[in-house]
Amino acid sequence: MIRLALIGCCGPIETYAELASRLQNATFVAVADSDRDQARRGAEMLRAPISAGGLDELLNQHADAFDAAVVHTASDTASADSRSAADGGKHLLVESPLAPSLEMADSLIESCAAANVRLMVGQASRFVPAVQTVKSSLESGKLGVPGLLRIHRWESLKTDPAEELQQRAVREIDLANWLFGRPPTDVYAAARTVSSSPHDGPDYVQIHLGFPEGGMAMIDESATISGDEDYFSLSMIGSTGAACADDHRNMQLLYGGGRPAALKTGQGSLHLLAQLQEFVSAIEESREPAIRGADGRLALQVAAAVVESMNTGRAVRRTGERYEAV
Amino acid sequence: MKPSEARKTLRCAVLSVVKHAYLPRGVASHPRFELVVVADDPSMPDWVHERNQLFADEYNIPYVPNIEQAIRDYDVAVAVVSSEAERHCELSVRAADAGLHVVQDKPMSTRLSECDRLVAAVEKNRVKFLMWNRNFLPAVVQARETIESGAIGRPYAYHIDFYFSKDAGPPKGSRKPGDPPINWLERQIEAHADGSDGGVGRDPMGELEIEGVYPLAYLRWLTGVEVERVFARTTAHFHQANVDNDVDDLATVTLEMEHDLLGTLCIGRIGAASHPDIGEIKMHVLGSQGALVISEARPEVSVYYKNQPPTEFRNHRVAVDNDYLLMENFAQAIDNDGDTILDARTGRAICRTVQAAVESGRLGRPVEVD
Repeated sequence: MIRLALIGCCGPIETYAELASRLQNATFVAVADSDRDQARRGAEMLRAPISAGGLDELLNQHADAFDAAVVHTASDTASADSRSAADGGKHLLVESPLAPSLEMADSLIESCAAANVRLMVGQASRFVPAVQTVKSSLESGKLGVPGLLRIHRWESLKTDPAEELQQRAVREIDLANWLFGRPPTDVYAAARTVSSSPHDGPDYVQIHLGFPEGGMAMIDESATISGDEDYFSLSMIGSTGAACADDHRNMQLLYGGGRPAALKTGQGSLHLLAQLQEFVSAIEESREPAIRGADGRLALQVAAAVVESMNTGRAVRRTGERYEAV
Repeated sequence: MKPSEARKTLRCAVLSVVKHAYLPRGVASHPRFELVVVADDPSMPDWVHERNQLFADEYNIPYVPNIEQAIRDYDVAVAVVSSEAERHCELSVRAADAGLHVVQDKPMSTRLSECDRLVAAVEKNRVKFLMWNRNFLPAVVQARETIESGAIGRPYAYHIDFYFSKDAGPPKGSRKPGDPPINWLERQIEAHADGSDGGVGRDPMGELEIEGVYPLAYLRWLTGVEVERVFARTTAHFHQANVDNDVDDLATVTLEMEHDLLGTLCIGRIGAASHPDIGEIKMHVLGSQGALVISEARPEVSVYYKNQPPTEFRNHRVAVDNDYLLMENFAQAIDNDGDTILDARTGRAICRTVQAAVESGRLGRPVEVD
């Protein structure tokens, strides 16, 4: 039985609580958060016996009580928490982005390797059932050589658009890297600030990636949709077929007077369970998880190229292991 | 204009109809326009004359292998140009110089110099020019009306997918060592059988050049602004003919437009297996107060039956009035000395955008659209 500690209550703790009983060979035993009351409430939700006012306290007082950490702290502390957990010999599931910088990502990857612990990057988008179907269609050969990936993701502005843009961009970039199976060779991006908000930074970005063998991806991320419903569309066209995971197709109609409303039939939360289970299985089986530190690092690297392209108006090309403006 | 002059029938000469004949058929769908003759140059190869004659026979009108003679003898007011793309502008210029209004198939041309000649001829002779387009499809009209109503606030990004789910000859990688490269014209002549010969001609054309005008015309009509800069990726991903002739069958274009608008275009001839119907054609538009997702094919009806051929479309577009509405637009431009929905200057601007995208795809960097 793998004993899990949830570090930070910024993530989908209610959903984890619903799914925890379905985890195989794993259980939540602790919740740590700098807000002690929040940690206690989180532990109650997860039925975890231990709560602590932060990771340091958890490591100092309960180091032997858990095997692995699921890190969901705020981005400015996540990296430090991850390092501490790795140095403490704990396997890690770190929510994307892996780290605020490539240097910190490298440091974390090295720490995990030195401690001989598993490092998995949390990219739940990969585990969404519709996306899994597209991936399996590719892997089975039905779609042939991947040619064109198109992603639209529209969400509402939540907190800091600049920070969120990086998180969002990394998420979609990771999907593109995963579906093409290799790093992009070319990056071009443009962004706009649309909403009048007190924060600096764009709330809309479009990312144009080139992949080997003529592959290409077009991604647009928007944080300007009002309300709680988001929109996601992913289509992959290959040399012998195409697959489309598209919210547009999954809409129902509600007639309640006036114009009909569109209701999305969602895919639930099983992708979060699948991600947690993959983490647990990788630990049990002493293997690399589906999303490794190197994958998280690559997504960060490409996101940095996106920012460079946005800021310079130039295309950025991969040369060796680096991206340089052309 | 006198009431008797307005609404009079306009006699049309079809100048070459070597492709799928949707253009002259579309013209004929409007009662103001009467096809009275098919004409072409005598020097054209036999297959051109054969196709011209077939169309003339279908409409029970004469075929005259002499364009200037046909224009003189048949008292025509309109030229309908549906030749190979490399002759589009030449025929349209000759028609404009003869004082005819012109309806021309897409693409305008693959050469900007030809577009410039055509713009000059149309304006010098003060004739009307309409480049064929799809802007009056019901879903496209709905998109424009919805955006103009302010329902999504101030639009800031437009994304268009335009895929034709058609095969175009042998698949990429099928050419055996020692086999000659596929001849573009011969391939296009073969493709006439299933109507996939939009690129017919000696000069190879990629999908951006053949079909790019359609989505870029949507964009132009929805935004009213010009494209200033593009970044493109282009490749031959599906078809051996495109590989052998170094033209794209798949492309993505980042579009940077006037007034800080952004957009993207994804376009391709993606193979018959990749969609149950003609292909996915969609618009996603983002605005300051909302967003819009439009499937261009709707309204449509699904039809399924036992032993249905796999290549038969399962979904059929219905209530499509694009042909009539385009010709009504053209007729009103003639009657009222107004602009057509896609005139020569706009066609030229679209051609320049396509050229810039093709260049960007080759260079791997953004290109300014002059």
